[in-house]
Amino acid sequence: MLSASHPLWIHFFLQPSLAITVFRRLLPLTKIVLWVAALYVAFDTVVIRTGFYFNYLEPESIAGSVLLNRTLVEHRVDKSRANVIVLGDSRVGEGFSAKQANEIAKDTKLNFIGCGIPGSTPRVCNYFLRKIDPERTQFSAVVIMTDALTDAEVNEDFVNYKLDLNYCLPLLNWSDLQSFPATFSKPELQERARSLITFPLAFAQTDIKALLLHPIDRARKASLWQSNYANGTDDYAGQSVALPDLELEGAPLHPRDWADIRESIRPQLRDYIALASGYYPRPPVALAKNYHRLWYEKIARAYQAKGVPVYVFLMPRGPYHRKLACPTALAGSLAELSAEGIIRFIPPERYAALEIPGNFFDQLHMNSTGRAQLTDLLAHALMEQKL
Amino acid sequence: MLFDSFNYWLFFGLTIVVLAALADRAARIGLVLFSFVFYSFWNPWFTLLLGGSILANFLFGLWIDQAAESRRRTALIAAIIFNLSLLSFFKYYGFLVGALGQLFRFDPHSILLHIILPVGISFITFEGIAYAVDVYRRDTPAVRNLTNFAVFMSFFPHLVAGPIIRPAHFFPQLATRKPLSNPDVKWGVLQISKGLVKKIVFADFFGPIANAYFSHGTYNNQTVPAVCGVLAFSLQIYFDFAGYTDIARGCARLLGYEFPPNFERPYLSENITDFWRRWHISLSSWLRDYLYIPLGGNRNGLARTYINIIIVMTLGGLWHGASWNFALWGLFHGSLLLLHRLWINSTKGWIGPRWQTNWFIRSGAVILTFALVSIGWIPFRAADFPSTLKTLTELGSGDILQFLRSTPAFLVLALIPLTYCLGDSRRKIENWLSNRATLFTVAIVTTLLLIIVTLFGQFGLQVPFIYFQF
Repeated sequence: MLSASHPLWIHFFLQPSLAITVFRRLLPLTKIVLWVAALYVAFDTVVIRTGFYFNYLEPESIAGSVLLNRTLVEHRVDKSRANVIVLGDSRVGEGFSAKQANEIAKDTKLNFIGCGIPGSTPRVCNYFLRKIDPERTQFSAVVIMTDALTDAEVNEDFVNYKLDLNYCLPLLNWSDLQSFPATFSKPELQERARSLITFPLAFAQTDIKALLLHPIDRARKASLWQSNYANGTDDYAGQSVALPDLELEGAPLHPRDWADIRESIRPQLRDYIALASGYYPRPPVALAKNYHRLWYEKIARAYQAKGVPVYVFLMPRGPYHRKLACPTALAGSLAELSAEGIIRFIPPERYAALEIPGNFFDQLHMNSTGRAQLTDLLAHALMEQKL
Repeated sequence: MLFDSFNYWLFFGLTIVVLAALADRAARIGLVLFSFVFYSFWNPWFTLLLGGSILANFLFGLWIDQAAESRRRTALIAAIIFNLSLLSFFKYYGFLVGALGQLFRFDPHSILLHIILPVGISFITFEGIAYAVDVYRRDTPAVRNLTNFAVFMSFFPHLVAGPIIRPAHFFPQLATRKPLSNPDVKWGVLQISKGLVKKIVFADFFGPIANAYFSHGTYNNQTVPAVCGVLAFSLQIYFDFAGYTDIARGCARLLGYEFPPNFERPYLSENITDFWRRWHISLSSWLRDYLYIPLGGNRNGLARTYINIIIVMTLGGLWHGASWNFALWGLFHGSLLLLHRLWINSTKGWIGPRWQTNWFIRSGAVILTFALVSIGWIPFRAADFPSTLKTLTELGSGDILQFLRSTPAFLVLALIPLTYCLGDSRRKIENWLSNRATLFTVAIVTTLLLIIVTLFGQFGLQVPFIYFQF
């Protein structure tokens, strides 16, 4: 409040009782704005923040796959045993069998849970783990895949990986408003990340429109997937197709003869070989290093506080990595994290030995033969840890 | 800074709070400063132009007012020449040079200046001219307070795309500071929400379909038939401009000022004359008062009236932009107005009131008027004459049903507002909400509208308001 002792110019520019004047002048507007904000937040809370809408999310969507895996974990966690979650992208889904691992470890108290979220990244894994295990007490060990032994092997700018936004839709809350956008370096993605947290309804509008068009069909589909996903995943035996051994030639390297390769995977296989042989440029090493350190350390530190170890293993990188003599020794940020005792890196050599075409059905994913071998390796490696 | 951007609403919120804290005179100075800041977001240099135009028009007003009777006309002509020169230089220089180059067969590129068009210059110019003429006619006294005059010219909600405000309507509002009443807030908030729905849900849905057709692209991998492309543009331009106007009027009201209406459901007009009473009302009434009537209006016989209509509408078309296509659009509307007058004159006496109130005939008249107006939008939207002709010849072709099947939202979004307007033809809902409903009820409606925007709005497209370019 201003008093009569103030200089004249203040009275010229400002009302004598400033706060009261502003309050009085804007009272009806303030009321309506606050009501609108409260009603909007109430609607948003009921529909999104309580998880109501996510019960009806398209199960075959990106965010839907995250929720199906959350349901799978909820179904598979056994509080009487030492639960070990094996987490990664679709390569974990194809390359690791929790059922087989539990068979191998049947005489121990270990309970393996395989969680392969197609297309997910360490950033998504971090928020996924926070969602399914907010107290960090569900698991006796967390096992996360990596497809790069060195930072130079990272083939994309994962800092600005746009699809992470879609994965994180059901995983974020208001408390992430500052920190989550800051994990992207491009301003437009930071902006999108902010709007994802503030206006998730707008972000999910395509799916919501489809839901409103066919609500009953969607409800049925979502319910069917949620109730059958866990069993379906357990019963999955992997793909039986195997890739042939190929003669590679030329620059960029490519198969001499494509005859034995399925038409549908040829373009991806060509890109994979060119990338693995170092033909395509990769993002700066420093970027990958920071990214690795940030997310693996974040996950590990959260569990470290509760005394839960976080293991990282090499997911066999591709069918021709051995042929291309790709590095098999751990180096860079993951080696540093391991040396500092933040993560426990399972020795990669035996995993790298699986990088042969007979273990893969395409350029990325292991087939049933590879799946059996990788599961065996991982199960035994974790049994040795005496969890 | 677009009305549908988050930055604008931050700016608007700050403006409203700061102005509420200021005393009357300081609030008006603050409003001018905020308006200049708003304008500077397009290009800071343009604020010099705006400032210069305000100062010059203010001085012209004083000159017209104080000049001896014999010199007042000279002062008025000087003011008009000043404003038209400004507009011509920025908007029509390139066009005129190009036209002269074609006429006298010289290469115009050597003397082209590649001038950037300052946003809203057409609106600023028209307001300057209106002020000078009104002072000359003694319809409004010359303003002696530069701040008040600057508010009139630069007030940011109408600065870049109107509505064109009139001195006689606006200056009395500056005399006293109106407190922000409950009806003001309800009306303002509803207008803003309605405008956002019109722009983000409707205009930005139809915009990409129209763009796909007129740029020979596809929409959702579908070829857009000409009829759908043209209809999409008809709906886009209405929802875009009416949405902008609603937001502008709502913002102005929340700041304590009233703008005149600019649209009155124009696509429900029963004839073209009626359409021009409901479409861009502030422009059509400006053209009537400052061009049509000074040209003689309908006082000098039928032939002269018809010529005046054609002149006014063609110039009105050219006001939209320096292109022969806009002139053609104006000419087309002028011709329709002329034909409508001929029809009225020739059928006077033999079409009885029973025919005029027949529901089927009236509906048919609305459809015919809408169809003609939509055809008129073709030269307005097309890049040039050949594209206009091509679109006209393509109107009968294309698989419309297949397109509508693949884009069902097209029909849904076209029919929802029509159904609403027919259901509430007397605007009872809107009036009840503004005048009789409680603040809480208005808050519920506003929230619903915002949820509609969130769920059905087209985000990430950044489609600018069409009339910003004029």
